[in-house]
Amino acid sequence: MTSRAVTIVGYLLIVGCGVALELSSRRRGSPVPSLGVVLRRVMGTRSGRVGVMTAWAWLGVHFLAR
Amino acid sequence: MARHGARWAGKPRRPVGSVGPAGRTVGAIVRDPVIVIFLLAGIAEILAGDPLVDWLVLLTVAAALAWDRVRRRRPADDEPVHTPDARAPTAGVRLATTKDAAAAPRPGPGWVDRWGPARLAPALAIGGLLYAAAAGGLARFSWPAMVAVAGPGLVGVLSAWRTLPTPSLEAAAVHASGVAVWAAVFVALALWELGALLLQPALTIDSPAHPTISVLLDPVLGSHLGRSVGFLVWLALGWFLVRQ
Repeated sequence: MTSRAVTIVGYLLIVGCGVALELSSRRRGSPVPSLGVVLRRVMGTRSGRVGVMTAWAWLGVHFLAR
Repeated sequence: MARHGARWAGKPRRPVGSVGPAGRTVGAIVRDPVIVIFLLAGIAEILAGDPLVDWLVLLTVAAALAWDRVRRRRPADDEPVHTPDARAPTAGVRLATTKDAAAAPRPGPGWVDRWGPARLAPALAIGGLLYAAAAGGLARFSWPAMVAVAGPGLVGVLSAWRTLPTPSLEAAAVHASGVAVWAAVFVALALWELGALLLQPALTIDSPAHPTISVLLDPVLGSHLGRSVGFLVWLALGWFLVRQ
């Protein structure tokens, strides 16, 4: 397995963990909150809200603009 | 002979209130993880030799949030005032007063949230599609493309700044461990990306053997269609976040 393949598999595994957590959060009585709920909690303060929106804007600049 | 063990025994502990104003200010800033993360990320961007805009955005927001903290001179100021389990006021936490309510921005939707009624949803969706289609045609690494991103980006960030946080019952009930598992996923992604970045021949030279996310997405974002889809996904994500 090449180092490129290992790197890509690593990304996929991490994304897969995120998807698994989200699916797990949909089960009734699951202790795992959905990503949306976690975001709402993080965005419950001004710095959290501004921080999340800035991270989003930064992603746009990084991938789409520069 | 001095009794070393007893030297400090009777000395009163330094009261927290004796810390100078500058110390309290720095403490309030450092206690905010968002400010610290943006400062560190901005410094990392500079060290990585990324374009000015990338790190300037991060450091400007860190400075603005720090200024906001200093201006209000209360470390816990941006914590939600009305939490579901709010109890009697405790040290360091002050309930909002009528004067505060008059001075603070009105609770509720910000600039963007006002556009949220269901009847506007189709218009927004069509507008987003057209915007993505047009913006995707702009050349990468160009100022027009930067403006196309900066417009919605600024609206989103300013809306977040202006909107008074309204904590939901559901979100407030989330246990810290629930947040921690999600944080672990994002930290793992960041560390994996950092590993790939450090394995490049140099920070500014891409490596096909150890691709970063940017390198992997380059072929996709190289075409008009790919960039338009990228813009659409990015706009949709921003809309999702604004609605939280």
